[in-house]
Amino acid sequence: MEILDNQFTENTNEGGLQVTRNMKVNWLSTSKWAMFLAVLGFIYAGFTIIVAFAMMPMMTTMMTLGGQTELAMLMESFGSLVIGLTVLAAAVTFFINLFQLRFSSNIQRSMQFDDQNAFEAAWRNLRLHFRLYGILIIVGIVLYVIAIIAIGGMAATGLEGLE
Amino acid sequence: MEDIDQPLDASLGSKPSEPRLRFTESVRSDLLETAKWALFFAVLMFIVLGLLAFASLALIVTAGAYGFGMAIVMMGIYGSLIFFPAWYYYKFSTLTRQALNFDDNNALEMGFWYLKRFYKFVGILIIVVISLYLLILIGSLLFVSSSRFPN
Repeated sequence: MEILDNQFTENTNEGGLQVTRNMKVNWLSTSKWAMFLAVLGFIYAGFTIIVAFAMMPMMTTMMTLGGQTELAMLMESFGSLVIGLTVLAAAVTFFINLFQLRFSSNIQRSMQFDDQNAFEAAWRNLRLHFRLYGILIIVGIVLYVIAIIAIGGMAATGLEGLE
Repeated sequence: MEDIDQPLDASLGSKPSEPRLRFTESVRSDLLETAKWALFFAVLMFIVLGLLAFASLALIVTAGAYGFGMAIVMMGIYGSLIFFPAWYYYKFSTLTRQALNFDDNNALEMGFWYLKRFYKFVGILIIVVISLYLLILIGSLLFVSSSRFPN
């Protein structure tokens, strides 16, 4: 009992929160799933890049062969923009999952070797993972709202033109 | 890296109160921001759930008995797929913030438990979705090959 009390008093500057066995069990499970999700995310990012660089020229060629030259030219002019946006999306996906992977590996290392630095790095990376995800979602919602307003505006002007 | 020559599972042994890893100020601030983002995601998912409920209500009103069935399927499948992760994130967020505010170790334990549940749910969901995709792919390939070459 005395030992326990000593540890509590030692820890007052950390606010009395302590790492328990239950937490470690949960972190181990969490880190394994996080690792799995991160690897899947990397694969997804890779696929996105492949699609951007392989599908765009293929579709342009197919449209040219199919006689739809105007559509093909449109695709070609927008091609670099589309590829740029896709690469950006793949980069964001990559970093989101990199933070998740780092969280996973750091929390595992911290538990194996009682490594306080790895422990702190793990939570820093989880925070960055959540932050980047959150920003991505906010940007997505804003783009949706802008698209809805733009489509609404176009529809309204279209109706006015009809009258 | 101190105490490197101890057994690897020493930290997983039955000494829960040994404060090797510490919740320092930086860890606490990281956890706090993570919890806030988790609450944001949870609220977004609850909003989607509300929209889904609204849509199924509209289905019931407009399409009668058929719509009722559709609404039950929609709310049952999509609703539970959205509800559980949202609930886990919500509990993780509230419990972790409670733990940080009031130095409540039990709340912190429960918070991490809910974080684990979230990751497990999403992981299993993704495995199921990928296997469904593979099944559909194989099924459609079989269907195409059998219809291309009868007998």
